[in-house]
Amino acid sequence: MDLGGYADNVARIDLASGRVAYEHIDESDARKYVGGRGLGVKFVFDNGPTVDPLGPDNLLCFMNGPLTGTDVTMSGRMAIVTKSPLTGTVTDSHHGGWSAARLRWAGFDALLFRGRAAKPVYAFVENGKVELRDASDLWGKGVHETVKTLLKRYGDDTSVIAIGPAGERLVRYASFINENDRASGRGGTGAVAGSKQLKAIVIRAKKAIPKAKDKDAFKAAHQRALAVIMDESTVTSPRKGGLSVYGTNVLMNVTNAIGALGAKNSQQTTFAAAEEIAGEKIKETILVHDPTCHACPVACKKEVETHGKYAVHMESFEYEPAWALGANCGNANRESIAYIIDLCNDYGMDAIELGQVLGMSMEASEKELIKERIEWGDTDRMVELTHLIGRREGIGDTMAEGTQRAAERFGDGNLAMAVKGQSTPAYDPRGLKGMGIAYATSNRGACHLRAYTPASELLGVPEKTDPLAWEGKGRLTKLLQDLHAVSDSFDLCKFSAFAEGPEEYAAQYSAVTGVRATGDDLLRIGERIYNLERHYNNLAGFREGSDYLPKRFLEEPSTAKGSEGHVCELDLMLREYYEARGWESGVVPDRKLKELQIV
Amino acid sequence: MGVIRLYATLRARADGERAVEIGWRAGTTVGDAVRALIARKPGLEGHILDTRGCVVPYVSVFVEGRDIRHLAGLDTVLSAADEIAIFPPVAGG
Repeated sequence: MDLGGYADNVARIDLASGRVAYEHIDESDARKYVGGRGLGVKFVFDNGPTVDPLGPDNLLCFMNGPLTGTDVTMSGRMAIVTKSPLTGTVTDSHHGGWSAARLRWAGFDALLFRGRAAKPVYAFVENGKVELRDASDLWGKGVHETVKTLLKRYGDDTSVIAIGPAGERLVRYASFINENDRASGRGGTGAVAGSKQLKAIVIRAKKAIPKAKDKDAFKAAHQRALAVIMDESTVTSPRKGGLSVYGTNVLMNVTNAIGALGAKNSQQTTFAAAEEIAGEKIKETILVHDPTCHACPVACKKEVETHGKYAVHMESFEYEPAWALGANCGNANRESIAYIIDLCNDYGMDAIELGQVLGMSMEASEKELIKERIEWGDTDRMVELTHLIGRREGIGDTMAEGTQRAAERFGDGNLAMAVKGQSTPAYDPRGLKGMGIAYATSNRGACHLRAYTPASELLGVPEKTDPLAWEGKGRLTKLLQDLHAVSDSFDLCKFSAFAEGPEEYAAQYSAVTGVRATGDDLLRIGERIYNLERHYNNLAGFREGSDYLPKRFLEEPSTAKGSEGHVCELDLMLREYYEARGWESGVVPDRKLKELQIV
Repeated sequence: MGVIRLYATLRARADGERAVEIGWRAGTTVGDAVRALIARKPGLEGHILDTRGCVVPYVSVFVEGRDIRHLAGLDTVLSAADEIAIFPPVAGG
């Protein structure tokens, strides 16, 4: 392949036989789907949409993009793409740190795992080769001990991406955790690995920045992108912007102020004690360090240290788990939140889904649907339940199935704030209407990252829209879904989109790969990727009626300042969205597939 | 009561205060209240209003939870009991 940026090397690992085959990337696929999420979805699509997510035939892809490991700012992300055991959809989940860059420096664009190993194994990756090695001594160990053991074994310049006991026990929202704390959190990628007896990926590589196809153009494009990220008026500005200073948890107070912070399983849209768990308070009380990822000056990670009953030293105290384990559970104890996030990292579990299943169970307990007493804000009980879920013991076995399945077993599926089986994140769509259509139409189940509409509704990027208006949100969601589909395929950090736009992306992509592309070309690629995902889901059984929201968001008006009296007008937004997409009731028609050159 | 709440990096520019009582009367505009705040906390100069007196891009000023960009901007009229909240650019994920 004659495109720059790529290693042009994909490893297909058959875990059953132990055989590893190496292949080049099809250039046509690289041009159409780029890499990362897009190319990963293509691999998963070609593997077939009807496989059992926890069966040996499911494909588990670790994906880089053509910008990964380069000097492009914020290019340290890796995509894990597979069919989700939580949702039954195609899913991709990304993590930061250094493993993505090291995978590229080790000579790979992708590692594709299929089959089931006869005994626990890990994959050792170095110098363009993959070897499967015995992980029997690591099976049953937490992520932290696994990482420690493997780093001691392999030394410096090594990244370890591992699953914990939750993945081994097939908790449906088990995660892969990179380098101890960076989670590919959502969708249950860790459970897919557990079903294959794949404990970890170990990548050893020294820094070897890939050369851009056009060095002069790259220099100009890189400087232009860096300038907008560093600009003092942007949220990304190092040590000055809100994202850099407080991390993602700078959001807690603002979503609370506008009545878009769900509390107590979204029975409320504001949390009186939000300030106690917000980024400002974390910085004042328990913050000890601001770590970063490969090629990122923003340093949004927030490392904290707590003492006493919930003593822990961990990163990162993020908005999403702070909300899920905090406001959503009626919990204002920040030390307990840090402690439980670290437990999630050690078990290898999605902290959003955990917080939601805990909140849902608290409401089920309050309504006496279950015998167990689980009180709002009972932090000791939350810790105990986290252990039970991670081990699939007692009631934890049911809660390990995810919020939707657990709520149904408790007797009321409507208590689950979930879409397509995946729980909703930290933005209540009664106060941020765009998040309603974004959750409903996300191809991986409820997700805030497919189309991050708060960029527009709160920040004003690419343009300011009213969070309480539904008009235009269908079209906005399509635009942002397409943009993020392509940035996820580079694979760049989402947060670059707070400063950069399609033209900045296009200039860097063109300079690195040699493919001449405009911003509009990239949006077209993003649209193709989004439609391929949707086509996969359609073939997997997601048809008309699959894009919905929990009834609570549609029927129970907000009572909070800022959004009082509002519900989410999903049907109106869906009509606008489907029209913008050219879909028929959520299904991609043949003409669209042809138009986008998917078939 | 006339309170303006400040968040994130704006707090440090207001001597570390989270809230400043301005004590406006019904009929005061948001612009009047914000200018009174800046007079009280000069460290905020240039961080909420620009040199033309407009709200700095990406800064959010809320009255009772509603962004003034979707009300009447700085001409939004306050009642005595209203609360203002001001955020510098914030976003995350």
